[in-house]
Amino acid sequence: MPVQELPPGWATNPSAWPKRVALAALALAGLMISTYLTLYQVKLIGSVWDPAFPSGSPAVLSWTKPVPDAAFGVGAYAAEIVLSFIGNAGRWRSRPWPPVAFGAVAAIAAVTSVILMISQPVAVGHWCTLCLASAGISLVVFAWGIDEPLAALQHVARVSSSRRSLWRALRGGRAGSLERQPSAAR
Amino acid sequence: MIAALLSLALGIWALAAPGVLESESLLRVSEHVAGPVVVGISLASASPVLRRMRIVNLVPAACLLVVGFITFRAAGAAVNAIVVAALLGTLAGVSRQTEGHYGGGWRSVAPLRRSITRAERQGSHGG
Repeated sequence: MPVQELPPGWATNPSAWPKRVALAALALAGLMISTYLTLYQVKLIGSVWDPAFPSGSPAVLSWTKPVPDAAFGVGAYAAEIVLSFIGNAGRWRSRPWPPVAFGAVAAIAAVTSVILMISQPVAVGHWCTLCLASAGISLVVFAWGIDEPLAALQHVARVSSSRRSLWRALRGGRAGSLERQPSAAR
Repeated sequence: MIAALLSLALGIWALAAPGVLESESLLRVSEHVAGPVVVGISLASASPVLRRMRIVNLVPAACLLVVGFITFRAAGAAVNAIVVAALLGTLAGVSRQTEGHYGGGWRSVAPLRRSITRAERQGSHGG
């Protein structure tokens, strides 16, 4: 790994491809689950599979009728997948906005997951296995992926504290950089 | 990491306990609220850059402790809540050494707040 790809004061590169691909794979699993639940909520499929709480899932999934709340999960997971693939292995510096946006989406999804986990037993009185699985995936994606937004924000803070434009720093490129571009940067 | 995983297990147990131990309503709601919060905080604090978030687990632990004492007559479930709260409180205090370095962590992002304020000020003057 080229030394330039490490954020200052970091021992590992948070924008490394293997981790981003793994996060995208996790988000893809969440996308598949939430798409399946959305299809049930908009009545494109007649029943929903639930190995642990067969009568619980229909109750939980009809709670927000007529709003198919699982569709918000589809949007969040899709955004996480797209944002995972934008930028190169040094994007915490060369293009900080995708990691920052990824962190924002993952944080909102994590908080929403906790609220939905609370609402299942408290408001509905039932559990939904796939909803819990989706919530778990959101929380793992947040916990595993939050280091890259931190590195990107640290870079933006360094650039903007040197009286350069905050928005240029977020957008990245030469205008928003303090250091020499890494050799891997495109 | 082990403390975070143990807290995660306690959070999952807090979610399941009302069904297993047939807790009374106040305790049931408390465990159903505290459980997901503990699960979320524990998973987040498993990340090296958010390890200090483990302290937040003191809040659901305190809630479980108070409700456990209030509903103490429902012996088994209440004792369970008190024990879970005590373990969560203990685990929230376990600090951990991290192998990596993270460039000063979230504190080093603080100058960003000043830059945003400055940008907003310039924006309001400009507009």
